[in-house]
Amino acid sequence: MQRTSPLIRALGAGVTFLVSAFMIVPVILSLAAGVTANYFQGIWRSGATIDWVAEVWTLYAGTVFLSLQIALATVAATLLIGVPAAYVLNRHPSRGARAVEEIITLPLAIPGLAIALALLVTYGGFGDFRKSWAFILVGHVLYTLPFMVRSVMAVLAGIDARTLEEGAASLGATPWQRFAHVILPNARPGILAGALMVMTLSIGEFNLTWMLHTPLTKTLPVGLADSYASMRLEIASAYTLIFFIMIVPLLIGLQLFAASLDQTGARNRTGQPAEEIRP
Amino acid sequence: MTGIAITVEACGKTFADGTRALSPISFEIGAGESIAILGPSGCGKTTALRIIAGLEGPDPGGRVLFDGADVTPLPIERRNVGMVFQSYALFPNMSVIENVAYGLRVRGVPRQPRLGQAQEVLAMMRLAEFGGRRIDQLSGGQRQRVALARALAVKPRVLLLDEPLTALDAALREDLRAEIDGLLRTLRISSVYVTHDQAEAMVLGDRIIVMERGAIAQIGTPRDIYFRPASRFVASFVGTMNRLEGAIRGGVFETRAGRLPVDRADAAEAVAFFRPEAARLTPADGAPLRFRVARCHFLGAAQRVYLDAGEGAPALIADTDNRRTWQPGQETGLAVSASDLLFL
Amino acid sequence: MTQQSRFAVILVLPLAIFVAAFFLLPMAQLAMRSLFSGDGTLTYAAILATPRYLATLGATLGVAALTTILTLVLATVVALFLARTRFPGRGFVIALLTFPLAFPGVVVGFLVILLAGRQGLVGTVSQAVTGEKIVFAYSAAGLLVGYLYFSIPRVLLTVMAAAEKLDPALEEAARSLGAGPWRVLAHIVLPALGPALTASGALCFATAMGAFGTAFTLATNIDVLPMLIYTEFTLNANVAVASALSILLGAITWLALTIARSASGSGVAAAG
Repeated sequence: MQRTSPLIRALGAGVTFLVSAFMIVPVILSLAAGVTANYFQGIWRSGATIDWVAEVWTLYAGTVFLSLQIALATVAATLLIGVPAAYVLNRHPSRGARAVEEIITLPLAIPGLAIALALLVTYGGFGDFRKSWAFILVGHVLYTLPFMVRSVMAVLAGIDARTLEEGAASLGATPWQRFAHVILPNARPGILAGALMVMTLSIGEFNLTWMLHTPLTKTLPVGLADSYASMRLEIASAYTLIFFIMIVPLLIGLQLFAASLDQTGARNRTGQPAEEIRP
Repeated sequence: MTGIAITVEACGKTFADGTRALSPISFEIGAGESIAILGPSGCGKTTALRIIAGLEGPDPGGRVLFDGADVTPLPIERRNVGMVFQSYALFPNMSVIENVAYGLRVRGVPRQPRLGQAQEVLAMMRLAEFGGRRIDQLSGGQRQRVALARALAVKPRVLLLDEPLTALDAALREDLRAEIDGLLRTLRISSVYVTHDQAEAMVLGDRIIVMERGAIAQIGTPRDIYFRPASRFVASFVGTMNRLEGAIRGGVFETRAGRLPVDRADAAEAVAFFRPEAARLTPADGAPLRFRVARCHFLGAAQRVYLDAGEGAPALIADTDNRRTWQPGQETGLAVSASDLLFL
Repeated sequence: MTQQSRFAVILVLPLAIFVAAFFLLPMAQLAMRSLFSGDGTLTYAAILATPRYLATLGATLGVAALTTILTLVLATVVALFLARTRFPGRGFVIALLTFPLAFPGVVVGFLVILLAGRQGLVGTVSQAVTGEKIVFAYSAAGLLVGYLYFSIPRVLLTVMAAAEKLDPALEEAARSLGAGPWRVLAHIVLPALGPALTASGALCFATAMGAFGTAFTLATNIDVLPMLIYTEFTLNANVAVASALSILLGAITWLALTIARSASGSGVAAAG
């Protein structure tokens, strides 16, 4: 089927190639720089090394672990807070439910900086809380919650949770039993997709974290910003390399997840507002 | 499983947005009786079923009694009813047998006995070898039977079915209709069957409740409903009805097409209804009513002849034997015995 | 019924408490703090009277607008090409183009440095070719490149989804009526993509307005609003101005996203 003229097609191919190069070349540069002995001389002349990665590890291993710790805690918190709420919002659609959904989505519309500032002016005085990693956790939960809630709500809408629950009720199941036996297992794809998304976002979150962190609670992106400002290019690159190693499997997982959901047709998408992730 | 008597007392339903789904209705279901609730979509039949089930509460003043005991405040999970949903509502996260055993699971029956009981019900539904399947590996008809098995496994006091055959194709629907009929007769369980399909209602209902716009139009046996419809709505909704307008003067029903003797008081405007099978086509000469044939549909076992009833009036329908051929434009006589004529 | 609603309340309670304590209350606090500066003047009036703040606001709006336009043009061309061309490795190209979606702004900033910084690729190549080393990472152009980098994937995803839903019969009908390729593009394809372009464009604009990490890493010589808020708060300890600017910024991005949503409501994300 000939739908476009060759000229337009060639133009499209050219622009696509250039844009793809624009997206990938810097990443390759970064990966290469992280294992190059001396970036100024280039990888061919100076040779490859993992010394920089090792040095990053001695300098910044703590940030990696703190980021993982916060990410896991964020996933746990969004599961505990978000999944039950998503279920209620799905099952009791009303003006009130719309309003709640609206409010929890607001942190996506407001720049992280503003939210961080709000948290600081309110809770900055609570010294122990301010200094602990829980302060960062609060910010991350606030930012990732809408992704979990929407992901679960989309799956619940797709499986007609209401009727399934009525079925369980007709067989004598109490509200808790219905939630545990029918809703949770059938919402699993949405819960898993939401958890992957939350994990990815939490590991990469910078805008809020930079404002909320203390010298003792540095996460990976905070450390990255630190190294970009004060370390030589090779170390910054090696550090970025470690970040990519952590984040790329999660991204691949997310894409595979989306593809498998597409295929089963259970739900043509998980309702992830992926475009709304802010850098 | 013996059924219970159900009393529905002045149950109306007004939804939160103010729409009135159901005017207060009352009726009784005898122990072991099968009731079919029949009506077009939006007539309130599903709401009535959901009130009996306990999925909806009636407006204040309404009551639902099971064997004389008021169950109105009880939610569905405490009413011990079996329910089959239009979409089946089978749990995709459980296998067939887990679905069927689920009601026993929430009643605290230990795993081995409950799987045993579920297997028995599956065998009764001729699904013995399907226990390990996932729901998405079943055909529509199989899902339907699993849904029935699941509802029956808890030995409910009443079986509630909400348009359970609507999602299936015609041939399968007929098979399953017969199957459900057999089941209801053997189990002698009280049942309420909601449908918009009159054939299902006739086959499955000991009595039929015909509903129209949130109210009961008629309650009666299938024969009552068919032969003695209480209103024009029931007459035209159940089966095909011919309609003939005219006036009654001195014991004669006068229409544009001719005159029929009737045993009724004079009326300036009268509308007579009769079934296509009550219409007999006769030679035109000397016939009380005369029409021209508009068209004829040969249906194999019978044929349906459409008679031109004049401008603006719907064609009359006569079902006749399959032998004679009819040509459009041909003139014919029509005879209907007075006992088959209904004035509504 | 009451048991049912009690159960529902128990389940939303954690969310309600969390959001009230850590979002609604802080945002209210922020709004309060933003009203008056330390010397008792109305902060918002002071901001409007300060040319430096206004210049920053203008620069931020300009960068965001330029980012949006360039992103829309590039992403639309790529989306249309990818939506209607099948070639080996297409899936890989799409994955490649959308992965950077989740890169934090700081990392994007660093990638711009690698591309156009003092040791960057552009500089190295230009020095080899022309003898002059081109470095623009730390200028407005560098910021723009960084914003383009994180904007293209998200706009691309939305526009591509819309382009794939386009009914080919519409174009065929236009061509059967004698419209050439450019006319088909102008009269059929672009109008059909309209809601998707509006929605993703507004989203892109909002994101660019609020982006902090990239500007922070590049430490550019042009001030953008998020950087201004950051410096007012941390360096000048001017909480009132930082709060007021935050609320101003939040209002602008919220408005843009509301536009995005109403546009997508009218057709793009029908599946949502």
